[in-house]
Amino acid sequence: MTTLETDLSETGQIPFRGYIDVINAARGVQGWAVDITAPGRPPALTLHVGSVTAARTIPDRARDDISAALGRKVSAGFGFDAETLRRAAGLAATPDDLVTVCIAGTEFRLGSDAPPPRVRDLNLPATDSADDWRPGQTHGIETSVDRILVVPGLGCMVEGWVLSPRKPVAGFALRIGGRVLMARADAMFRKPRADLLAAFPDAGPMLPSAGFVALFAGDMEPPDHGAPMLRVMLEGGATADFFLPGSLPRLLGHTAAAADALQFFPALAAETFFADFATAVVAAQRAALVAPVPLRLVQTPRSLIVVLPEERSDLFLAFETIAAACREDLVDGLTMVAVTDANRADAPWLLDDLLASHPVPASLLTVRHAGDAFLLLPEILRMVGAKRFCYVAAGLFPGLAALRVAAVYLRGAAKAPMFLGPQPDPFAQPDRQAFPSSRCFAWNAAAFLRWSASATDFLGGHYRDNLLARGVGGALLHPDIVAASRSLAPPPIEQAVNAALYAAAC
Amino acid sequence: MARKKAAGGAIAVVAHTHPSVTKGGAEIAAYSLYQGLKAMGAEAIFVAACLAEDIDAFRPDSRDEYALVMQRTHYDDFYTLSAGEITRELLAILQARRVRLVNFHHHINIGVNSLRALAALTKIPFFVTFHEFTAICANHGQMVTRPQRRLCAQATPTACAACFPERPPQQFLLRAQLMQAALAPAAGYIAPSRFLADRLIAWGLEREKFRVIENGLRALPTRPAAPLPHTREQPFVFGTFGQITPYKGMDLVLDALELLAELPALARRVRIRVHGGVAGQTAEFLARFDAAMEGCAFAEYVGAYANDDIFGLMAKCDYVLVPSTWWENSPVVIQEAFAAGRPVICTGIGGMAEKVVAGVAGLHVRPNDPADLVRALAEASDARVYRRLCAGLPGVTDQVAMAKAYLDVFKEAVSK
Repeated sequence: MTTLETDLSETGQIPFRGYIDVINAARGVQGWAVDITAPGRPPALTLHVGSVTAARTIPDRARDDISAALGRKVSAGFGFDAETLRRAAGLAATPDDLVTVCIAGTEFRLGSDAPPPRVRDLNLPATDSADDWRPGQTHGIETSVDRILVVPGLGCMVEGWVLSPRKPVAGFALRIGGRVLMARADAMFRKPRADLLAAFPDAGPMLPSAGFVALFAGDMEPPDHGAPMLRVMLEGGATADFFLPGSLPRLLGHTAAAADALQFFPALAAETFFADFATAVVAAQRAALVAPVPLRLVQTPRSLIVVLPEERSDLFLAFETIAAACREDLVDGLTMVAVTDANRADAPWLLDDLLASHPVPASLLTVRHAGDAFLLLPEILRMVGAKRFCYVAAGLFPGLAALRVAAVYLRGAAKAPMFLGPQPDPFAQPDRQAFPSSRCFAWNAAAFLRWSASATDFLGGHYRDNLLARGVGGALLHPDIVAASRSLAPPPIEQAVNAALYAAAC
Repeated sequence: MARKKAAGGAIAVVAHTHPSVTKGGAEIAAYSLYQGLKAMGAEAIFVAACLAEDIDAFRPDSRDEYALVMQRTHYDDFYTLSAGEITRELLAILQARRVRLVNFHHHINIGVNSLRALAALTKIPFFVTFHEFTAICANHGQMVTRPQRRLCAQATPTACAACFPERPPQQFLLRAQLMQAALAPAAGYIAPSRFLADRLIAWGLEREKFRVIENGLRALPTRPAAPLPHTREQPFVFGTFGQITPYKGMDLVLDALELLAELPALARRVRIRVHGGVAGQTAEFLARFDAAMEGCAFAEYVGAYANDDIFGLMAKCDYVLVPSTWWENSPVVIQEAFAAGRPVICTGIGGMAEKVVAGVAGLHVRPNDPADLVRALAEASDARVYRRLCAGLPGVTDQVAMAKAYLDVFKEAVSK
């Protein structure tokens, strides 16, 4: 068993461990990988053919043997399926190119029982090359693609239509950038397109199944979505390639939100690929994170960290909330986190104005999105030198009672985290009430940084308690003590993604 | 009147603006109180917020008047939160003048944060005089829905969110909590009408802290003008006074003019005389207004007027018309009409209905009902009705009497 032969102790300079258990044409590539300094955060892996990076994945499968060796439950198993391996091999410059798996962004190559195989050794069936695609014979096919949503780490969601009067359509392939992706059979469905009748009066019998929605699975680098083409594969083996507008692909996390996926698969959470989708969107969120930018930086060992609301009136209220705390001498150090595109213009003068009345040590940092603040909290804590902190997410307003409790905590030595719970929302349904959560809590920075090294990222930053208190024991709770200026219930897609991640992490 | 200075520091009257900059009823009432206090020999100062772009219009009468200069962009009018610089300036003035008591008129521009800071950082007692419903209603404190401008009887977060769909109900709940927390430390509340006080009490302020004190007029005529003599041919003149805006009911008057045009016999006995400025109104409204004034033989537009001329202008009318479409509280124009010896025809709601006893000092009209306004004009165009109503007018408070009533309240509350 490979695990037993691998040193999983944290002794070397390189924090990664991993192994390829299987690599062949029938099963693709399977193995495991782990970052032993952050076992809860699986490292991204890349599949290489010669010098070409052909695919990317994140370990997301339970491996009891690795968990047992580490003494904690981890998802270290990974796989590149046979189809991915076949298509990766198609990118080889020569049949002698080696097929390898590395930790993404490093030269750390996973070992295996045998030396890395050459492409020719794998006896893979012939494959499409991205270079082979060119429009030619159409076989009478009319087709168009309406939308493409690129989800890094997962693939492309595509909606369109096709009319093939001579032969039935057997499947689709998508060339996007330098990659060729196949439509997943378990994530593709056909649907009627009665709207085509006006343009194609003779297409009546084909219209009930002219539309299609499909997930084309496979990884790609975020910028790698140019020059898209659609290949329609007909029964009998004939194919027809079509250029697609270069403006069609929208990139998740950049020009598209996770909720846009619902347009393709309204019951997304029930799809077979939902777990992969959840993993991919959270990975995309983390990949898009940009470090906080300090506009004013002061070391504050006991820091009240307030993420400023984006709505302007609430921004004023947030500052008045802090001013009230300062008037009662409840603030020893302050870290304000502004959002670049929302309150960046007002936050500096409001802070200057606050400090003119109450000269407390204070920092002002900016992040790109309010939801990034929690994900960047480890960096924020390091930047302001916090030893103990109380974190308040955007849109929450701790009253004086909450701020008094926070001040006592920050000035004390309690080791367990403390949650400041939201007041009941009289406008939300009972099942949509918010929980005491990671949106407002206090802790010591060292314990939080240890926790964050293996913490699960959630879409939008927060979900329930983000498992903050897991394994710590004795978490303190002050319920009904923090007000909110809007519903804290996340959008349905965020709720579903985070519920899946939370369940997996539990 | 004795002019001995009271011991123990000044009383600060703090208003959202200065009457040399704007001429609204609230700032005029606040300034009248300040002048009344000084006339009684009390040491008083007047502190007014003033937008930086309006500072050239600020004309203090003495060194006892201060401007808190504010930047328009440094203010949030939803929560009524000002920048800390306003609070700091205010506290510095209060300290420099050894102020012993503060009376806020409105909290807009000054900011509820200033009230909270005053309560937290000093032991100076403060009183709040309300002139409308800003604490309750985010729609300019009018308790009128938007965009339909229907009268609103009770503000709730969900109802308010229907008026402001861009804001969630939670924000209105927070707003109410903020306002109530800021107002709670006040030593007392003052309203110029029972109606306003009752609304604020129902909303959550302490009943025991409330006192009703009528706004006093800065000056009164030597004596009310006598009723105008009337012959059968002479039309009754109904005057409107004040800024001409939809809230003040000019739309309703224009609708009534159209109905009157179809009643020539009544139209011969009626003349509508409009006084006041039209600045800030929409082009559509102004076109309609101009057409009505030019096209109706029984309507005329006199234009803007100086405050000092108001009693003379009212004396040339038989009635003063107050057709406001919002609740009003204690419109100064009603006090001015009574002081001028003229009955009032007003909308029968809110502070107007309270101040004008129907059938005694004037007549009531149903809100937003031009036909009922025409009915009231017809009823009023009768010499016997006119004489009876002129005989029923109540007395009017001047600024000194108002100041005395305020001082009594201050003493009562502070001595507790």
